[in-house]
Amino acid sequence: MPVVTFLPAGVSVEADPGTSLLDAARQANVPIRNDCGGQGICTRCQVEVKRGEVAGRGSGGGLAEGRFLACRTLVAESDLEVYLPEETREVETEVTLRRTDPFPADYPPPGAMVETVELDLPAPNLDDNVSDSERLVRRLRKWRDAEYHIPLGVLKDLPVRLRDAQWRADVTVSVEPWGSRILRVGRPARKKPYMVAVDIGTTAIKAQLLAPEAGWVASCYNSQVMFGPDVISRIIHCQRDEEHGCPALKQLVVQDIERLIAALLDAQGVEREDVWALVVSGNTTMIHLFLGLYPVWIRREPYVGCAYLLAPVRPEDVGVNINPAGRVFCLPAVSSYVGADITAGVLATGLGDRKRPSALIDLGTNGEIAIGCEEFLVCCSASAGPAFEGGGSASGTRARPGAVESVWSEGTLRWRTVGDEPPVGICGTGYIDLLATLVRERIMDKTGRFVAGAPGVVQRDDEFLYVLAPAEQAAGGRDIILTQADVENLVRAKGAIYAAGSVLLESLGMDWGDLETIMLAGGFGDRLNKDNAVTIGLLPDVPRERIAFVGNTSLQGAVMVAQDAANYWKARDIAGKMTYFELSTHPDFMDRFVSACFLPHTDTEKFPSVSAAQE
Amino acid sequence: MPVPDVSERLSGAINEVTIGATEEQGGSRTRTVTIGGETSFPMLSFEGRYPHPPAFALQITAADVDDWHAEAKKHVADVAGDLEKWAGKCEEWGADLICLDLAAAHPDSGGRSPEQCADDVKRVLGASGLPLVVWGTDTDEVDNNILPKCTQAAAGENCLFGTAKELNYRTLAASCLADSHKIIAEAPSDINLSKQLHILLKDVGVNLQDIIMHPTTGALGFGMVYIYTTIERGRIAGLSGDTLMQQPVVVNIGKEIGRVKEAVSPEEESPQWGKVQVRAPLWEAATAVGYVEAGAELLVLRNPEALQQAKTALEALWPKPPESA
Ligand code: FES
Repeated sequence: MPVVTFLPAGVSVEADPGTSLLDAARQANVPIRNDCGGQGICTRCQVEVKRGEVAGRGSGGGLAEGRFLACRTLVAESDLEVYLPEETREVETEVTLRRTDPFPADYPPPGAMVETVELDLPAPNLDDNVSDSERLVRRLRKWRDAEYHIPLGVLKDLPVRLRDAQWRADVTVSVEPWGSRILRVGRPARKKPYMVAVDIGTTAIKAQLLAPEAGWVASCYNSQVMFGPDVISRIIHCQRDEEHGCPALKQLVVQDIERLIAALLDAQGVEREDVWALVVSGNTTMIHLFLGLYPVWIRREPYVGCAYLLAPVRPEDVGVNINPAGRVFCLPAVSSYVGADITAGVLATGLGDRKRPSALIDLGTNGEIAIGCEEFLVCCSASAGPAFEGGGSASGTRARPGAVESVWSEGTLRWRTVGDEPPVGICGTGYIDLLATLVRERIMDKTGRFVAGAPGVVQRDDEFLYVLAPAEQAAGGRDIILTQADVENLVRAKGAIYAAGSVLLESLGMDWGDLETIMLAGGFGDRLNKDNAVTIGLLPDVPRERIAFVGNTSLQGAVMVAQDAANYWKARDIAGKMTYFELSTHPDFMDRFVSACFLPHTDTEKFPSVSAAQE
Repeated sequence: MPVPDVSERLSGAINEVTIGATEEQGGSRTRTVTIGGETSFPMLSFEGRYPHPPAFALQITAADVDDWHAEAKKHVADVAGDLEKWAGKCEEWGADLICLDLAAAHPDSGGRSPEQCADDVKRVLGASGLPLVVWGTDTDEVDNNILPKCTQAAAGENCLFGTAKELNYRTLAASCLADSHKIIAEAPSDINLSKQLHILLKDVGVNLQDIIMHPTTGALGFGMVYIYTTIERGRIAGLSGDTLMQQPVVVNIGKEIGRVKEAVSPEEESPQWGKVQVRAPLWEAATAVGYVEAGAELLVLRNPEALQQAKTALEALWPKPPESA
């Protein structure tokens, strides 16, 4: 089998002839930028072949001499030496720390998923000679009536520790589906147990430290992005490489979470031992991969995942390095395509407590929609992909410093970035603004096609594209652009979301206008321009005060669960109660989708305010 | 017991569109053709107004007719190669309009230059007083090259030019606007795409009343069902008040017939199907009548015999105005 050596790293891997260089690099764990997931669109995966013969159609087409697209270039018969230029290696691994309002000094409050109580126990004597464990449980029951389980590890030194603490011990307990688990017994500890809430997004991962006076959220790219921008391409990877695929993806996400936790602990000056729980939210595929569950059947009809309602697990079972006696809680999912992130969102927004029906639209993974009130909850997935998270777009990025987050026109197009830093790319809110502004300025027509000759529109390799910021201004030394393929992707995504919402509402005998509030969730920027979201038809044309931007509700829900076990039960209740609606078999969905793939919509009368503004 | 009135009253009406301009109107046509104006579904004579019967155009071309099936070719054999003669013949055969097909501009079919095409348009207009439809090639670049010259050459004649497509509508729209022609908006068998195209055309200044839509065409036995239902659905939307679906419909049938084996395979090969001289024109006529039943108002045919058969059939079928009923 030919051996491929990647330079400058000097890592070698054996690859079958016909394997793409991108796949070979993945097998070798050498990160290569591949923003389009290896579809030959983004041209970010350029490499130089220094030695050996390759096959495939990876060169030419506007590439510099000697450059090949790794995703389109195949291993042939000979050994290869492949050099990765700097820009190809620059897979973004940086962790961004953001300050939030700090928690109070006595955080977390009583009733959290993991808490420590100080208990006075009566010392045993001849009349009261129940075992140490029964004594402890008896006392705990007085504090809080529940089933208690003492794992063997705690049991082993229980007698010593109780006596050492002179029957006045701190007991750390976690909430479990069947009751409570005793994690530690010992002398009164200085610190409360800290927790970390995590949202595993397909594109970005966020973690928040839940500790007294902590006020940090850390985020980074999900390194699995090197296996493709969306959940489907990740699942395909597990399928293609049955032996290593799923473990490799699991390892990547665990490493990412490790890096985030490290950054949080570092910022706050906290030890790993003090972290007793991770509370994890994310879509069904991400949670599967985090736990190392084989996700392949999520993608195949009838789309069934391994588990939606998950019991807490030990940190070492997942491989995260927190206090080894701690717990890892995963929020419950509804179905294979409506995950824990949506359960968390419903919890965080109180959708299921409202008197009148409202909607929650999560632009995160795939454009999931939940509609409901105290009487019912229904949900669906629009299969919109991560376009609004920057996934699969030429200059797409997550919302991070330097991401273009808003765009407007003052005769010419103007933009601003997160933190006013030099632009690194465009994030979701930036894309929404950009599309709306380009249509308004007639630089793009209502199908999303660029108008030849319009200002900013240039032609490269037979394709029109829009240059938002030229390379000189950009942080990465590359033009910040919007390509025709990007627009198609975004229009399809927003069309799918609107169509999914419409079909779901119709099935309920309702209309967008019947909703009290339409909440848009997702971590795609902080500056959502509601008018622009309506102008492109992502959201319906309802009075703007009914539209609310609610941010990353997946993380918010995880935080809520961590700090109050009542929310843990509520989340399980929500997941159990929510009716999942399968759109892929719905007869009207396709028609709705095509009519929504237009800016704002083929049925212009549905968007009167947009038509009025354009007249 | 009196019979209850079950007729439906619909809120919308199909646009009336006139093609051609007489001398008073600034052109040189001897007559004009108006289509559309219906207020109900086709043939439901008790329900609405049907002010204009469907109109038929015969196709002529400067390209050679080698690829025409034999039964159509035999009629045009003497005139093929002479557009002016052919145009004159169309009038004799009973066509309401002439459809000049610009296939000859395609590089594979001779690559006639924009100037030659414009000249073809002029010569056809000179040779016949019938209103003119001009149909481009199926290649965007070629169309964008030739059509502006052709619209110019026909300025004042209020012709119908096609086709504008979602990916290529700007050039033709601009030339039709500049030279005051009607325009064919082509969207393959999907009313959403069709509506989208109409919005795009409107955005560049085209009046919705000047659009004839073309859902593309399939012959009987060759995809007609898809187009039929598309026309039907569009008609329901239009008559229910959707202004983006109130455009009359053109179908280009003649060139599709040759694809249907049952219509054109010679008798030696398929004796069970009967005489091809009967079959071929009948197939074209039946396709045409079928499309009229779906709602199409303008039909482009190749075979003059089919044209006569379809017209005869429709004379019997088409609802008479109430006063003569
Ligand atoms: S072009 Fe190769 S990964 Fe995008």
